[in-house]
Amino acid sequence: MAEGILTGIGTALTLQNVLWVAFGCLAGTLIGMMPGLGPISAIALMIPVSYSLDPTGGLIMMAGVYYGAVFGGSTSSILINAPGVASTVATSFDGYPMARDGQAGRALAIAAYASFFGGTMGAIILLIFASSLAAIALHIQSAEYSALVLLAMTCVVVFAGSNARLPSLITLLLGLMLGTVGTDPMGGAQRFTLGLLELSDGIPFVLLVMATFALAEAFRLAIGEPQLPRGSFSLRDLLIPLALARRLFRVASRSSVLGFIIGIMPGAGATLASFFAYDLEKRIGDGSREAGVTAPEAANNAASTGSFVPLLSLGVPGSGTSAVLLGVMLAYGLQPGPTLVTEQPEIFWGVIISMYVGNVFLLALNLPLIPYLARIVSLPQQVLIPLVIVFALLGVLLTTFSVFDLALMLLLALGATVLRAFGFPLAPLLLGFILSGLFEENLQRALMLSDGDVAYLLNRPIALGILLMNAAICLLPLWNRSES
Amino acid sequence: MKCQVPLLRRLGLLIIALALSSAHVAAERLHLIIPAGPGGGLDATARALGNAVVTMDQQAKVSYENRSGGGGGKAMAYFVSNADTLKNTLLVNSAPLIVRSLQGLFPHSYRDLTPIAGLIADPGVIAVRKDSKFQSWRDIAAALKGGKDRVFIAGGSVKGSLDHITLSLLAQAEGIDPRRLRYLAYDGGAKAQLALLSGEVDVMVSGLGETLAAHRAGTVRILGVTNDRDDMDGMTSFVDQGLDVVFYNWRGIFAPLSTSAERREELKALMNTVTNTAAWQEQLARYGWQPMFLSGDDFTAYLAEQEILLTGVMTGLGLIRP
Repeated sequence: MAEGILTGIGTALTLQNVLWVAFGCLAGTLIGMMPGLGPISAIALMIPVSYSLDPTGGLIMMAGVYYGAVFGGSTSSILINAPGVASTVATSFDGYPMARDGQAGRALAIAAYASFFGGTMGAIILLIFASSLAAIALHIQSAEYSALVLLAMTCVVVFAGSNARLPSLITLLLGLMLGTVGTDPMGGAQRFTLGLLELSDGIPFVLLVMATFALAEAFRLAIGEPQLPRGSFSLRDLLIPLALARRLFRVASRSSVLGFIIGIMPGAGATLASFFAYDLEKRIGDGSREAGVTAPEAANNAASTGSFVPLLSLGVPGSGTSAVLLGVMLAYGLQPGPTLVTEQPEIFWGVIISMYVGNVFLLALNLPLIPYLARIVSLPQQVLIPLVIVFALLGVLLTTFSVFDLALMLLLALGATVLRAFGFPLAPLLLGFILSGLFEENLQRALMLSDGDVAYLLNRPIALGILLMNAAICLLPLWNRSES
Repeated sequence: MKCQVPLLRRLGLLIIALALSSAHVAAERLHLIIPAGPGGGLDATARALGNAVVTMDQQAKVSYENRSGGGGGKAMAYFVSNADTLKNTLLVNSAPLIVRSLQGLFPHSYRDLTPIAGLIADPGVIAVRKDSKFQSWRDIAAALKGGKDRVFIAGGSVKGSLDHITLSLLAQAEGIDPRRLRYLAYDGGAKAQLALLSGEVDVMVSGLGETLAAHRAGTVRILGVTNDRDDMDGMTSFVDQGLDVVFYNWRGIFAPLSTSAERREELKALMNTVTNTAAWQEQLARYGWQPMFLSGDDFTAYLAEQEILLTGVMTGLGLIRP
């Protein structure tokens, strides 16, 4: 293996490949910052460029694009509360309030460091355990997946704090209901589409997130008292005090490991990972906002790396993004799978090492940009609000070209503004929406596999374990109450 | 900054759309509408075609527009209702076009378009794990007929999708009622494949393009292919196994209905030339696609044939009422 790693380092660190990874990072960051364009679109858009390169160079550049796009998504989620992809939604929970309080530079810097840390940890774990981890992906079947999704939903409600539990539950259920609009994931029937073609694929994620997060926030700012922008924006934001850094190091470490493990599971790995890591920090950590930004960022980057495990070891992509990457690899005539390590070690290790190189470059390229990006929040509100609205509208229009979607987005934004005015949190709504399809699909399959016998879920050790954790978490509030 | 070109094109398109302008640049160019998001098979087909056109004629300009949504219905609606103003604009489409219009998911059908050419055909496959108890399609069919074993079959999309239809055609040919099959839908062929590898299901139905890589790597074994060729990596077609099932997911190119006969001939000729270039052959090899060149009236006749075939099987499945 040591030989393989050395070959990998040799491949990834040629001048040409280093330039390509730098180029990939930059392009990925720029595309990722665009509303509605996430890592999948970024990679798809870069495919024509990658064709002009040799396989290693092309894949290394794509790793850069991937990480860049993930980081770019966090930027819009922190600065204007507009997460472009599901995996950066959790970052906005604490990141956006930090930005509003004049700590935009600090929040972005923490996000960059945490991403770097998570990605690096992920790459190291991948390096050590790459082939032996594949087994995990194979133990997670429909029953386990539905139990895990249920756990994510339980956490977001129970950990919301005693006053917010009922409102969180209500918005979570609302999110689940919105998620059922569209085509039934098993039977293919049309549900709640009102006979409208526009709704037959369901409500697009970007549309809902722009409506409930970006637009609702812009409306709230527009209705509320005007605030003067606060905060300093200098390179000093990039320096994190040692004491804080030490605390965040622990947060990032546990989040990365958690993120990587969840990321191995096919499906919404990075999203689930970021929510779990955030919830975990709120529960067992110090609950600071810095930790609230660190945890999801470290977790989603580690999870993104984790999603390469099934791709490289089984040849089956674990996420939408790695599916597009698989396409790129196949187009090069490479065969990802158990034989890649033995037959083309320079490519296998080259890709893994390039993930690491991609992370280093991402940090080096993006840190100097942060003070400039952070100035966005210092714009006067009469400029910032229209800017956010245009950004949100453009994000939807660019991905769907549909005027109906714009109208739907405004309608949902109004609903979200009303909900917020009455103190309902919107994060559970978004979580419910993201997870409803996954939950329904997996639960339905598990029940079909057992001919409708719910006991099937209890007969499988991993699923039973997760369900017991669920039950324990539900009982936590009672225990806390008796304590106080 | 090569990477920014597609993005800029998107922005440019948006501006054009906003200005409700129908004026396209006079220079010879093609604009391809893709009824799916970036990254999928249709998207890859359009971009591969565009690459081949540009390689052949350096002067040519090809742009792309991803209009996903409504199971391809949004792109259809846009293409049909703006037919008169869309100059040099072509629609890329595939077999689900017929399935979804038969289901009534959208009001249009291939008759609202001018078929130019079929480019690629991807047959369906039945695959099992390499250590499966099923050695051949015969074994699976026997288990399905026997009804004693509960055989679950994974597919990459909902009931009524191409995967489900491929399986139903095979079941029908075996005299099994396709409504009695235990079909489990997964979100994409990759997840179906993972379910097969994890042992959640024993059999998978998928497209050849998506499965060939795993078959070559030896993680899954393809037991039958719904094509009528026999020159492939140790796989046999169902025809060779005595079942009269030939079914492809085709991908092709369409022009607006109002296209003049003269322009149609031009486009046919263009597709004919492009698909004979080395650049296009290279793209086919790259993705493991099988060529299917049918142009003009032959393509239209093929579509009509497919519509009859699909009407039959979908009626059998209860997806459409006779």
